Amino acid sequence: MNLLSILLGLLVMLVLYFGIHLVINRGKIKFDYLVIAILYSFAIGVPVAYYSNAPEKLNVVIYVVYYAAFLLPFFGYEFYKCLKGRQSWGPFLLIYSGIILILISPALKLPVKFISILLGLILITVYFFHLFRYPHLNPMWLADTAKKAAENIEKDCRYSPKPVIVPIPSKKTSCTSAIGLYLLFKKNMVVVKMKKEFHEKLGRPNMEDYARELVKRITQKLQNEGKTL
Amino acid sequence: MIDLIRILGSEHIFSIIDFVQKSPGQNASSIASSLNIHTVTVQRALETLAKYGFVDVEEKRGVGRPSRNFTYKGGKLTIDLNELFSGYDLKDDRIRESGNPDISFSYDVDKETVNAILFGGKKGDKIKLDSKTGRFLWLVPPPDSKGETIEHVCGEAGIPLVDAIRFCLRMQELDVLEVIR
Repeated sequence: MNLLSILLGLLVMLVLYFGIHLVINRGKIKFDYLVIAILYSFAIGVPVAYYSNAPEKLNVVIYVVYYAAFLLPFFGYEFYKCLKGRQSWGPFLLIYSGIILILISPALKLPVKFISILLGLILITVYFFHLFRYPHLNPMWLADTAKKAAENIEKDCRYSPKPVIVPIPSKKTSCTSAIGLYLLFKKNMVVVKMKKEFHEKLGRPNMEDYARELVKRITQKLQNEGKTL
Repeated sequence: MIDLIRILGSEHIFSIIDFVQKSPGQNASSIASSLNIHTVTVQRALETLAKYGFVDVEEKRGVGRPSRNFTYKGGKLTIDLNELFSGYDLKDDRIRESGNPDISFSYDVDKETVNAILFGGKKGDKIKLDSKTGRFLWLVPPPDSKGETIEHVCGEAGIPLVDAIRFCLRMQELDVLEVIR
Protein backbone atom coordinates (compact mmCIF):
# COMPACT_ATOMS: atom_id res chain seq x y z
CA MET A 1 0.00 0.00 0.00
CA ASN A 2 1.66 3.23 -1.11
CA LEU A 3 1.07 6.81 0.07
CA LEU A 4 -1.11 7.65 -2.93
CA SER A 5 -3.58 4.85 -2.21
CA ILE A 6 -3.74 5.88 1.48
CA LEU A 7 -4.46 9.50 0.50
CA LEU A 8 -7.04 8.34 -2.03
CA GLY A 9 -8.69 6.18 0.65
CA LEU A 10 -8.80 9.10 3.07
CA LEU A 11 -10.25 11.36 0.37
CA VAL A 12 -12.97 8.82 -0.40
CA MET A 13 -13.78 8.57 3.33
CA LEU A 14 -13.90 12.37 3.59
CA VAL A 15 -16.27 12.69 0.65
CA LEU A 16 -18.38 9.81 1.98
CA TYR A 17 -18.67 11.35 5.47
CA PHE A 18 -19.50 14.74 4.00
CA GLY A 19 -22.15 13.18 1.76
CA ILE A 20 -23.71 11.23 4.64
CA HIS A 21 -23.88 14.31 6.83
CA LEU A 22 -25.23 16.41 3.97
CA VAL A 23 -28.09 13.94 3.49
CA ILE A 24 -28.99 13.18 7.11
CA ASN A 25 -28.82 16.85 8.09
CA ARG A 26 -31.03 17.90 5.16
CA GLY A 27 -28.29 20.15 3.76
CA LYS A 28 -27.77 21.99 7.08
CA ILE A 29 -24.03 21.66 7.36
CA LYS A 30 -22.20 23.41 10.20
CA PHE A 31 -18.45 23.57 9.75
CA ASP A 32 -17.43 23.18 13.41
CA TYR A 33 -19.69 20.16 13.88
CA LEU A 34 -18.51 18.67 10.58
CA VAL A 35 -14.84 18.96 11.58
CA ILE A 36 -15.53 17.21 14.89
CA ALA A 37 -17.58 14.48 13.18
CA ILE A 38 -14.96 13.87 10.49
CA LEU A 39 -12.01 13.85 12.91
CA TYR A 40 -13.83 11.42 15.18
CA SER A 41 -14.88 9.24 12.27
CA PHE A 42 -11.28 9.16 11.02
CA ALA A 43 -10.01 8.29 14.49
CA ILE A 44 -12.41 5.36 14.52
CA GLY A 45 -12.18 4.38 10.85
CA VAL A 46 -8.48 4.62 9.97
CA PRO A 47 -7.00 1.97 12.34
CA VAL A 48 -9.67 -0.61 11.48
CA ALA A 49 -9.14 0.02 7.76
CA TYR A 50 -5.38 -0.26 8.18
CA TYR A 51 -5.48 -3.50 10.16
CA SER A 52 -8.05 -4.98 7.80
CA ASN A 53 -5.48 -4.60 5.04
CA ALA A 54 -2.54 -5.72 7.22
CA PRO A 55 -4.00 -8.17 9.79
CA GLU A 56 -0.52 -9.62 10.51
CA LYS A 57 0.47 -6.31 12.18
CA LEU A 58 -2.54 -6.34 14.51
CA ASN A 59 -1.66 -6.00 18.21
CA VAL A 60 -4.89 -6.94 19.95
CA VAL A 61 -4.10 -5.25 23.30
CA ILE A 62 -3.20 -1.89 21.78
CA TYR A 63 -6.14 -2.17 19.38
CA VAL A 64 -8.63 -2.84 22.19
CA VAL A 65 -7.18 -0.12 24.45
CA TYR A 66 -7.27 2.41 21.60
CA TYR A 67 -10.93 1.77 20.82
CA ALA A 68 -11.90 1.56 24.48
CA ALA A 69 -10.40 5.04 25.00
CA PHE A 70 -12.21 6.46 21.98
CA LEU A 71 -15.54 4.70 22.27
CA LEU A 72 -16.17 4.05 25.97
CA PRO A 73 -16.99 7.66 26.99
CA PHE A 74 -19.62 7.94 24.25
CA PHE A 75 -20.82 4.39 24.72
CA GLY A 76 -21.11 4.98 28.47
CA TYR A 77 -23.04 8.21 28.05
CA GLU A 78 -25.45 6.75 25.48
CA PHE A 79 -25.91 3.64 27.61
CA TYR A 80 -26.67 5.82 30.64
CA LYS A 81 -29.30 7.76 28.66
CA CYS A 82 -30.93 4.49 27.60
CA LEU A 83 -30.88 3.16 31.17
CA LYS A 84 -32.49 6.36 32.41
CA GLY A 85 -35.19 5.99 29.78
CA ARG A 86 -34.25 9.23 28.04
CA GLN A 87 -33.95 7.49 24.68
CA SER A 88 -34.92 4.18 23.16
CA TRP A 89 -32.56 1.22 22.95
CA GLY A 90 -33.10 0.61 19.21
CA PRO A 91 -30.80 3.29 17.72
CA PHE A 92 -28.20 2.68 20.44
CA LEU A 93 -28.06 -1.04 19.70
CA LEU A 94 -27.99 -0.41 15.95
CA ILE A 95 -24.99 1.94 15.95
CA TYR A 96 -22.89 0.16 18.56
CA SER A 97 -23.58 -3.35 17.20
CA GLY A 98 -22.59 -2.03 13.76
CA ILE A 99 -19.39 -0.44 15.07
CA ILE A 100 -18.38 -3.52 17.07
CA LEU A 101 -19.00 -5.84 14.09
CA ILE A 102 -16.71 -3.68 11.97
CA LEU A 103 -14.11 -3.31 14.72
CA ILE A 104 -13.72 -7.06 15.23
CA SER A 105 -13.32 -7.67 11.50
CA PRO A 106 -9.45 -7.42 11.42
CA ALA A 107 -9.28 -10.41 13.75
CA LEU A 108 -11.54 -12.53 11.52
CA LYS A 109 -10.78 -14.52 8.42
CA LEU A 110 -12.57 -14.42 5.08
CA PRO A 111 -15.49 -14.94 4.42
CA VAL A 112 -16.62 -14.26 8.04
CA LYS A 113 -14.71 -10.98 7.92
CA PHE A 114 -16.66 -9.86 4.85
CA ILE A 115 -19.98 -10.84 6.42
CA SER A 116 -19.08 -9.01 9.64
CA ILE A 117 -18.21 -5.80 7.79
CA LEU A 118 -21.29 -6.04 5.57
CA LEU A 119 -23.62 -6.64 8.52
CA GLY A 120 -21.99 -3.78 10.44
CA LEU A 121 -22.42 -1.41 7.50
CA ILE A 122 -26.07 -2.44 7.12
CA LEU A 123 -26.76 -1.72 10.81
CA ILE A 124 -25.00 1.65 10.62
CA THR A 125 -26.93 2.51 7.44
CA VAL A 126 -30.21 1.71 9.21
CA TYR A 127 -29.07 4.00 12.04
CA PHE A 128 -28.34 6.80 9.55
CA PHE A 129 -31.77 6.21 8.02
CA HIS A 130 -33.28 6.66 11.51
CA LEU A 131 -31.36 9.94 11.90
CA PHE A 132 -32.61 11.06 8.51
CA ARG A 133 -36.21 10.36 9.51
CA TYR A 134 -35.87 12.33 12.75
CA PRO A 135 -33.72 15.35 11.85
CA HIS A 136 -33.95 16.90 15.33
CA LEU A 137 -31.67 14.11 16.58
CA ASN A 138 -28.84 15.55 14.45
CA PRO A 139 -26.74 18.21 16.18
CA MET A 140 -26.11 20.10 12.92
CA TRP A 141 -29.78 20.34 11.99
CA LEU A 142 -30.67 21.21 15.57
CA ALA A 143 -27.99 23.93 15.79
CA ASP A 144 -29.25 25.49 12.57
CA THR A 145 -32.89 25.36 13.70
CA ALA A 146 -31.93 26.69 17.14
CA LYS A 147 -30.25 29.69 15.57
CA LYS A 148 -33.21 30.41 13.28
CA ALA A 149 -35.71 30.00 16.11
CA ALA A 150 -34.10 32.89 17.99
CA GLU A 151 -34.48 35.35 15.09
CA ASN A 152 -37.90 36.78 15.93
CA ILE A 153 -37.75 36.41 19.69
CA GLU A 154 -37.41 39.32 22.11
CA LYS A 155 -33.71 39.83 22.90
CA ASP A 156 -31.61 41.09 25.85
CA CYS A 157 -33.54 39.07 28.39
CA ARG A 158 -32.30 37.44 31.57
CA TYR A 159 -30.88 33.94 31.82
CA SER A 160 -31.64 31.12 34.21
CA PRO A 161 -29.67 27.86 34.45
CA LYS A 162 -32.91 26.01 35.26
CA PRO A 163 -34.43 24.20 32.25
CA VAL A 164 -37.58 25.55 30.60
CA ILE A 165 -40.59 23.24 30.43
CA VAL A 166 -42.66 23.31 27.24
CA PRO A 167 -45.87 21.28 27.43
CA ILE A 168 -46.60 19.31 24.24
CA PRO A 169 -48.59 16.19 23.48
CA SER A 170 -45.99 13.47 22.85
CA LYS A 171 -45.88 9.71 23.05
CA LYS A 172 -42.17 8.94 22.77
CA THR A 173 -39.21 9.79 24.94
CA SER A 174 -36.03 10.93 23.23
CA CYS A 175 -33.23 13.36 23.77
CA THR A 176 -30.99 15.39 21.55
CA SER A 177 -28.33 18.03 21.94
CA ALA A 178 -26.21 20.57 20.15
CA ILE A 179 -23.33 22.61 21.59
CA GLY A 180 -24.83 24.45 24.57
CA LEU A 181 -28.34 23.11 24.05
CA TYR A 182 -30.04 19.98 25.35
CA LEU A 183 -33.60 18.84 24.68
CA LEU A 184 -35.34 16.01 26.46
CA PHE A 185 -38.66 14.99 24.95
CA LYS A 186 -40.77 13.41 27.65
CA LYS A 187 -44.40 12.40 27.78
CA ASN A 188 -46.47 15.61 27.62
CA MET A 189 -43.50 17.98 27.80
CA VAL A 190 -40.11 18.97 26.49
CA VAL A 191 -37.30 19.98 28.83
CA VAL A 192 -35.12 22.63 27.17
CA LYS A 193 -31.75 23.23 28.81
CA MET A 194 -29.35 25.84 27.53
CA LYS A 195 -25.96 27.01 28.66
CA LYS A 196 -25.28 30.65 29.41
CA GLU A 197 -22.77 30.96 26.53
CA PHE A 198 -25.37 29.59 24.11
CA HIS A 199 -27.97 32.06 25.43
CA GLU A 200 -25.48 34.91 25.01
CA LYS A 201 -24.55 33.74 21.51
CA LEU A 202 -28.19 33.94 20.42
CA GLY A 203 -28.47 37.52 21.71
CA ARG A 204 -30.04 36.61 25.08
CA PRO A 205 -33.55 35.71 23.84
CA ASN A 206 -36.56 35.43 26.13
CA MET A 207 -36.05 31.89 27.37
CA GLU A 208 -39.68 30.83 27.50
CA ASP A 209 -40.61 32.22 24.09
CA TYR A 210 -37.45 30.83 22.58
CA ALA A 211 -37.98 27.32 23.99
CA ARG A 212 -41.58 27.32 22.75
CA GLU A 213 -40.54 28.50 19.28
CA LEU A 214 -37.78 25.90 19.01
CA VAL A 215 -40.08 23.07 20.06
CA LYS A 216 -42.76 24.37 17.68
CA ARG A 217 -40.32 24.30 14.76
CA ILE A 218 -39.21 20.77 15.57
CA THR A 219 -42.74 19.42 15.98
CA GLN A 220 -43.86 21.19 12.80
CA LYS A 221 -40.97 19.72 10.82
CA LEU A 222 -41.82 16.24 12.04
CA GLN A 223 -45.54 16.73 11.43
CA ASN A 224 -44.84 17.92 7.88
CA GLU A 225 -43.05 14.66 7.27
CA GLY A 226 -45.78 12.56 8.86
CA LYS A 227 -43.85 11.76 12.05
CA THR A 228 -44.88 12.25 15.66
CA LEU A 229 -42.88 12.80 18.79
CA MET B 1 -48.16 26.87 61.34
CA ILE B 2 -50.44 25.37 58.72
CA ASP B 3 -48.48 22.09 58.90
CA LEU B 4 -49.18 21.85 62.64
CA ILE B 5 -52.88 22.60 62.16
CA ARG B 6 -53.03 19.92 59.50
CA ILE B 7 -51.32 17.37 61.73
CA LEU B 8 -53.63 18.20 64.65
CA GLY B 9 -56.60 17.55 62.41
CA SER B 10 -55.29 14.21 61.18
CA GLU B 11 -56.97 10.90 61.93
CA HIS B 12 -54.39 9.26 64.21
CA ILE B 13 -53.05 12.26 66.14
CA PHE B 14 -54.86 11.46 69.42
CA SER B 15 -53.70 7.84 69.53
CA ILE B 16 -50.10 8.90 68.70
CA ILE B 17 -50.01 11.60 71.43
CA ASP B 18 -51.65 9.26 73.91
CA PHE B 19 -49.05 6.59 73.20
CA VAL B 20 -46.09 9.00 73.45
CA GLN B 21 -47.45 10.35 76.74
CA LYS B 22 -47.76 6.88 78.25
CA SER B 23 -44.55 5.42 76.70
CA PRO B 24 -41.93 8.17 76.40
CA GLY B 25 -38.61 7.75 74.58
CA GLN B 26 -39.80 5.53 71.74
CA ASN B 27 -38.97 5.93 68.08
CA ALA B 28 -41.50 6.34 65.25
CA SER B 29 -41.08 2.81 64.01
CA SER B 30 -41.93 1.17 67.36
CA ILE B 31 -44.85 3.57 67.93
CA ALA B 32 -46.17 2.80 64.46
CA SER B 33 -45.98 -0.95 64.94
CA SER B 34 -47.67 -0.72 68.36
CA LEU B 35 -50.51 1.40 66.98
CA ASN B 36 -50.66 -0.42 63.65
CA ILE B 37 -50.21 2.85 61.72
CA HIS B 38 -47.77 3.52 58.91
CA THR B 39 -44.33 4.68 60.15
CA VAL B 40 -44.33 7.70 57.82
CA THR B 41 -47.61 8.94 59.33
CA VAL B 42 -46.22 8.71 62.87
CA GLN B 43 -42.86 10.20 61.87
CA ARG B 44 -44.50 13.15 60.12
CA ALA B 45 -46.84 13.86 63.06
CA LEU B 46 -44.10 13.69 65.68
CA GLU B 47 -41.56 15.67 63.65
CA THR B 48 -44.12 18.45 63.17
CA LEU B 49 -44.98 18.45 66.89
CA ALA B 50 -41.25 18.53 67.66
CA LYS B 51 -40.75 21.45 65.27
CA TYR B 52 -43.16 23.54 67.39
CA GLY B 53 -41.73 22.29 70.70
CA PHE B 54 -44.61 20.07 71.84
CA VAL B 55 -42.48 16.93 71.71
CA ASP B 56 -38.83 16.41 72.72
CA VAL B 57 -36.51 14.49 70.43
CA GLU B 58 -33.50 12.54 71.59
CA GLU B 59 -31.16 11.19 68.97
CA LYS B 60 -29.50 7.89 69.86
CA ARG B 61 -26.52 6.74 67.83
CA GLY B 62 -25.60 3.12 67.49
CA VAL B 63 -25.19 0.58 64.71
CA GLY B 64 -26.84 1.85 61.53
CA ARG B 65 -28.89 5.03 61.27
CA PRO B 66 -29.38 7.12 64.44
CA SER B 67 -32.70 6.55 66.18
CA ARG B 68 -34.93 9.54 67.02
CA ASN B 69 -36.84 8.93 70.22
CA PHE B 70 -39.84 11.09 71.09
CA THR B 71 -41.12 12.24 74.47
CA TYR B 72 -44.31 14.21 75.01
CA LYS B 73 -43.76 17.70 76.36
CA GLY B 74 -47.10 19.46 75.77
CA GLY B 75 -47.71 23.19 75.84
CA LYS B 76 -50.03 25.93 74.66
CA LEU B 77 -50.82 26.68 71.05
CA THR B 78 -51.59 30.25 69.96
CA ILE B 79 -52.77 30.81 66.41
CA ASP B 80 -52.47 34.23 64.82
CA LEU B 81 -55.17 34.14 62.16
CA ASN B 82 -53.95 37.39 60.61
CA GLU B 83 -50.54 35.87 60.08
CA LEU B 84 -52.02 32.59 58.93
CA PHE B 85 -54.18 34.15 56.24
CA SER B 86 -51.72 36.85 55.19
CA GLY B 87 -50.52 36.52 51.65
CA TYR B 88 -53.47 34.37 50.53
CA ASP B 89 -54.45 37.12 48.09
CA LEU B 90 -51.18 36.37 46.27
CA LYS B 91 -52.69 33.20 44.83
CA ASP B 92 -53.77 34.94 41.64
CA ASP B 93 -50.47 36.77 41.19
CA ARG B 94 -48.06 35.52 38.59
CA ILE B 95 -44.60 34.30 39.48
CA ARG B 96 -41.42 33.74 37.49
CA GLU B 97 -37.73 33.28 38.15
CA SER B 98 -35.78 36.40 38.96
CA GLY B 99 -32.77 35.47 36.81
CA ASN B 100 -30.26 36.41 39.51
CA PRO B 101 -26.83 35.51 38.01
CA ASP B 102 -25.46 34.47 41.43
CA ILE B 103 -28.09 31.77 41.83
CA SER B 104 -27.90 28.35 40.24
CA PHE B 105 -29.81 25.13 40.79
CA SER B 106 -29.11 21.49 41.37
CA TYR B 107 -31.90 19.59 39.66
CA ASP B 108 -32.95 16.17 38.46
CA VAL B 109 -34.24 16.15 34.89
CA ASP B 110 -35.66 12.64 35.20
CA LYS B 111 -37.55 13.27 38.44
CA GLU B 112 -38.49 16.78 37.28
CA THR B 113 -37.52 18.45 40.50
CA VAL B 114 -35.05 21.01 41.86
CA ASN B 115 -32.96 19.44 44.62
CA ALA B 116 -31.21 22.54 45.89
CA ILE B 117 -30.69 26.24 45.27
CA LEU B 118 -27.03 27.26 45.14
CA PHE B 119 -25.99 30.79 46.03
CA GLY B 120 -22.64 31.92 44.63
CA GLY B 121 -21.74 28.70 42.85
CA LYS B 122 -21.05 25.19 44.09
CA LYS B 123 -18.88 26.34 46.99
CA GLY B 124 -21.41 28.90 48.20
CA ASP B 125 -24.50 28.51 50.36
CA LYS B 126 -27.03 25.85 49.55
CA ILE B 127 -30.72 25.47 50.35
CA LYS B 128 -31.98 21.93 50.02
CA LEU B 129 -35.59 21.55 48.94
CA ASP B 130 -38.01 18.76 49.72
CA SER B 131 -39.70 16.91 46.87
CA LYS B 132 -42.83 19.11 46.85
CA THR B 133 -41.19 22.54 46.93
CA GLY B 134 -38.52 21.19 44.55
CA ARG B 135 -41.24 20.19 42.11
CA PHE B 136 -42.94 23.58 42.56
CA LEU B 137 -39.73 25.47 41.77
CA TRP B 138 -39.09 23.22 38.78
CA LEU B 139 -42.40 24.40 37.29
CA VAL B 140 -41.79 28.13 37.87
CA PRO B 141 -41.43 29.85 34.46
CA PRO B 142 -38.10 31.45 33.48
CA PRO B 143 -37.22 35.15 33.89
CA ASP B 144 -38.90 37.71 31.59
CA SER B 145 -41.70 35.27 30.79
CA LYS B 146 -45.36 36.15 31.34
CA GLY B 147 -45.24 34.05 34.47
CA GLU B 148 -47.79 31.65 35.90
CA THR B 149 -50.22 32.10 38.78
CA ILE B 150 -49.17 30.56 42.10
CA GLU B 151 -52.47 28.68 42.19
CA HIS B 152 -51.80 27.11 38.79
CA VAL B 153 -48.22 26.11 39.62
CA CYS B 154 -49.15 24.63 42.99
CA GLY B 155 -51.96 22.66 41.32
CA GLU B 156 -49.41 21.19 38.91
CA ALA B 157 -46.89 20.52 41.66
CA GLY B 158 -49.40 18.98 44.07
CA ILE B 159 -48.52 21.32 46.92
CA PRO B 160 -51.10 23.06 49.18
CA LEU B 161 -51.74 26.65 48.17
CA VAL B 162 -50.89 28.10 51.58
CA ASP B 163 -47.51 26.32 51.58
CA ALA B 164 -46.87 27.48 48.03
CA ILE B 165 -47.56 31.12 48.95
CA ARG B 166 -45.22 30.90 51.96
CA PHE B 167 -42.55 29.28 49.80
CA CYS B 168 -42.94 31.98 47.12
CA LEU B 169 -42.57 34.78 49.67
CA ARG B 170 -39.44 33.14 51.06
CA MET B 171 -38.01 32.66 47.60
CA GLN B 172 -38.85 36.25 46.73
CA GLU B 173 -36.85 37.43 49.75
CA LEU B 174 -33.90 35.34 48.53
CA ASP B 175 -34.29 36.78 45.00
CA VAL B 176 -34.88 33.32 43.53
CA LEU B 177 -38.23 34.28 42.05
CA GLU B 178 -40.32 37.39 41.61
CA VAL B 179 -44.03 37.95 42.07
CA ILE B 180 -45.51 40.04 39.25
CA ARG B 181 -48.19 42.28 40.69
